Amino acid sequence: MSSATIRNDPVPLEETFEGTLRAAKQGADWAWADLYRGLAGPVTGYLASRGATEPEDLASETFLQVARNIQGFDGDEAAFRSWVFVIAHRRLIDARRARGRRPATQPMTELEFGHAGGDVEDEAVNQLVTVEMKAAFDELTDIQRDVLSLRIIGHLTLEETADVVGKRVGAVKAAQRRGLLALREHLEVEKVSR
Amino acid sequence: MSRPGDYMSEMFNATISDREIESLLTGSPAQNGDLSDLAGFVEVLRAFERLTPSEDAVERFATAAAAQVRAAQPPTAAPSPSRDRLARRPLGLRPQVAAMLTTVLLIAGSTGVAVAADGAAPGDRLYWLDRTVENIGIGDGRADERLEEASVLVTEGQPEEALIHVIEALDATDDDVAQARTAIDAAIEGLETAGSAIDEQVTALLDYLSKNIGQGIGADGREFGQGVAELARGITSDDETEVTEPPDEPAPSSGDQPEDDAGTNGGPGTGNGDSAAPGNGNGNSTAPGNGNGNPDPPGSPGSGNGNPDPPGNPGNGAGSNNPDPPDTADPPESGNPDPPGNSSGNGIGGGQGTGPPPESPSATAPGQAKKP
Repeated sequence: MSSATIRNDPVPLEETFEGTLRAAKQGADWAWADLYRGLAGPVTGYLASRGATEPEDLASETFLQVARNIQGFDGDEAAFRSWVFVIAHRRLIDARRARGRRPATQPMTELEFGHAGGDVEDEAVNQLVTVEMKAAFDELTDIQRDVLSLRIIGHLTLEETADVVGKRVGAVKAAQRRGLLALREHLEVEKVSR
Repeated sequence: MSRPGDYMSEMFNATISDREIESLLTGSPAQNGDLSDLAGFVEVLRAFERLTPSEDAVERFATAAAAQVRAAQPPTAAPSPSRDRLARRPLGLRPQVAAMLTTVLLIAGSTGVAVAADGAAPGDRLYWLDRTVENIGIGDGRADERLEEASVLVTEGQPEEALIHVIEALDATDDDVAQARTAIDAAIEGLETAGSAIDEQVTALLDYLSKNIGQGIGADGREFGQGVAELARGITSDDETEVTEPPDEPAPSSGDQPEDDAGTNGGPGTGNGDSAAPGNGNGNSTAPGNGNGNPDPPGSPGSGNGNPDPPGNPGNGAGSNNPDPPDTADPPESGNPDPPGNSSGNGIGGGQGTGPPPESPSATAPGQAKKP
C-alpha cells in the first residue's frame, strides 16, 4: 500500500506554540483557530475510531472544555496535545457511559475511511481493507483499541498514552502488544479464509 | 535488537520486539514481511487523523472559544462577586446538586425559578440561582428543544443521559453557559458513583420540571420555582434522603393557572414519557419542536389552545410524533430528527398536544390523541 498520502507526523500547531498559547489564554480568535486546526483532526479521528457516534461534536465539546480550562494549563506543545487527548478520552468515556446498558465495546464508528480524505485510489484501497480491518479491530478489548488509537491517530507517546487512559506505562505496553498480536492473528485468519 | 519480554514468547512464535512496535506505531513500519498486515492496518487507522474540520468549523469554534476565554477572565479590578462565585463550584454544592440546579435553571430559566430565587441574599443557596439565571443565556430555541428532549430522557429513567444531552444542548450557545456545562460535567462524573438514590432524585426533580414547566411566570411561576427549589434542597440536604416529594403541584391543579394550559400538562400523576410536556407550546418558548421538522405528524399535535401557532401547524411539536423507533439511546444532534429515546412517540418537541393526558379536557386538538 502506498503511503504517499499518509501523513506520518503530527501537525505542528505553530512555530511558537508558546506565543499561540499565550494568545489563546487572552482570548485571541486566531490562536484558538490555530490550536483547533492543529489538533481537531487527530482528536476527531481518535473519537471516531473509538466508536463515538458524533465524533465531530464530541471533538468540539472537547475543545470547548479546553478553552474553559486553558488558564490552568502550562506546558509545551506535546503536553498540550496530551492534555487535549486526556479531555477527549474522558468525553469519550462519558459518552460511552451515557449509552448505558449497551455492551461496553463499541465498534469503530461507521466513519468510513473513505471520508478521511486522500485520493481516490487511496480510498479504493482503503475500502478493500477496511472491512476486515474493522472487524479485526473490533475484536480487541477497549483498552487495546484505546491505546492503539491514541498512539497511532493521536501520535502520543507511551507515557502520554498511559496518562490519557490512566494506566501505567507497562500496562499500555502490554495492551498495544497484545492488541497488535491479536490484530495480526485476526487478519491472518481472514486472509486464510478468503 | 531487544527482545520483548519472555511472557510473550510462548504466543505462537509471534513475538514482536518493542522496537518493531514502536516503529510500527510511530509510522515507520519495519520492512518486515511479518508485519506487513499490521503496517497496513496502522496506515488505515492513521487515516482517521485526517478528519480535519472545515475552515468554517474552525472559525466557528475559534470565535466561540475565544469569547468564552475572554468572558471567563476575571476583570482586572475587583472581580464581580457574581462572576467570582460562578467561577467556583457554586456554594460548594456537590456536583450533582450543582447540575440539578443548573439544569433546572436552563430548563426553567425563563419560567419561574428565577422568581423564587429573586431576592435571595448572598450566602443563601438561592442566591446562586439568582445570579446564575442572570448569567446564563437562555432562550436559544435549539437549546430549548434539546432540554425538552432531556426531560423526556429523564422520564424514561435515564437522568444521566439527560444530563449529557443537556450538555450537548449547551454547546455553541452562550459562553456563559460554559459554567453550567462545567457543573453538569462534574455531575455526570459524580453520577457514576452516586447510586440510584441520586438518580431518583434527579428524576424526581426533572420529572417535576417536565410536568410543570412552562406554566408561566407570575404567581404561578413563583410557585413553580419554589417547588423546584424545594426539591433541590431535598437533594442537597442528605444523600440518603428519599426522593423528596414535589411540593403541591402548583399550576395544573390550582385554579389560578390559565385554563388553556391545562391540557398541555401531562397530568402530574402520570410521570412517564407521555406526560413530558415541557414547553408545552403555551406561547412560551415558541414551539421548540420546530426543526425536528417531521413533515407528517399524524394529526399534528393538538398544541393546546392558546398556542399562538395556527392549529395543525406541523412544525409545532412535530418532534413529538416522530415515527422513528426509540432505538436512539444516543442523544441526538441538533437537527437530528430523532428525538432521543423517543419511545413514547411523543412528548418531545413542543411537547404539548401529544400528551394523552387523561384529564386533558382542553387540549383536545385533532389527532392529539395519539397514544404511545
